Amino acid sequence: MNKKPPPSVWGSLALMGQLGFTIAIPLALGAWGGSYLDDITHTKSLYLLLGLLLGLIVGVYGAYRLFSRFF
Amino acid sequence: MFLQWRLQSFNIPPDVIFTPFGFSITNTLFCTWITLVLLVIVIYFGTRKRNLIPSGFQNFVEWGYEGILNLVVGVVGREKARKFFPLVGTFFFFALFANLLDILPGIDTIGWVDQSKVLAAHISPPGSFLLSGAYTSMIIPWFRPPTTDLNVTFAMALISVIITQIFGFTALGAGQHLRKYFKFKELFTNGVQGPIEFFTGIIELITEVSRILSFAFRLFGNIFAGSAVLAVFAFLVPALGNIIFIPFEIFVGLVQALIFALLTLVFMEMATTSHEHAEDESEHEAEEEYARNEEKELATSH
Repeated sequence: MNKKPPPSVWGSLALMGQLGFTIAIPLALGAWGGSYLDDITHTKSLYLLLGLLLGLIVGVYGAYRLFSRFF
Repeated sequence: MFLQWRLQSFNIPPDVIFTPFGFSITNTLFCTWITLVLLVIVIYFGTRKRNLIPSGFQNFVEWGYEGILNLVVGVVGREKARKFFPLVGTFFFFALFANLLDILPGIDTIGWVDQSKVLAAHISPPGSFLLSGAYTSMIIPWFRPPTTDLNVTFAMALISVIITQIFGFTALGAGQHLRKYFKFKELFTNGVQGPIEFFTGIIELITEVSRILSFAFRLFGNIFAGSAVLAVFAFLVPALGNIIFIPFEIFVGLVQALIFALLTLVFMEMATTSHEHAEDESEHEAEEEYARNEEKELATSH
């Protein structure tokens, strides 16, 4: 695969700032969506855990994709 | 009693200060207009007398403009910079001016007295323009930096993400761009790996959407927290505390504006770069180099 050189210092720092959000936001969305589905279906915390798992996978993969283009 | 004051309350939603013709004008909207007017004034006076050898204020404006232009060219190259710079530069300068409003005197401290709070506290309305005592926590400020309003940063994030998608569609074509997210071809051709690759495409789509939130909350959070820090230290250590924090907020405002613009730029660059195409090109180059090397070897062996 064709690797590109990382962007300038400021660009790299900006990408570092994006890293935390890339992991955190899918987790938060997954937890919110899961607890919403739990409320609807009156399950205890099945969908919450599933949502958290999905959010974790999405977040970790997103973080990997964010930097895999450069390194 | 006279020289006492209280910490102001921090509201996340902006306050409505005027309602002309039934429209609610909030203090952040009012300050957005001030930001725009300031930008127009700076550009007008910076470009009024255009000398070939710039000096004074024109030099300063050109220094800022060229600084961000060189940064954009450095990240994406001259050709794409021509396309991306207008939007990225606008984001940078708008966010910068909006953030820097935070440190001006009068921001968050000049405004109406909230009559409902005065009534609720069972005290008489204040007698003078200068407030003291309990009234100091009952101000509806006229001025509040635009980027401390989640509506503004959310709108900016929406613009950023949607235009990134539009650039992606125009640069790669609808089919190739959508194939990044919906990998139906891989689903049926790659055997066991197919469903995983299809799933990663869906994950990319979710990441794109969550980027709206990350853009909006980063800018909003940093600047809102900054204005809260300024208010708290003005309350705790009057006059002296903000000697440290005003320069710090200038730095934060600059860095956040830069990060917003640069992230937009980096994601635009990513959206307009095709993976398949890049691979093809590098393979093509490698083949050419291989052929050239063989020719050289042939030439030297004879």
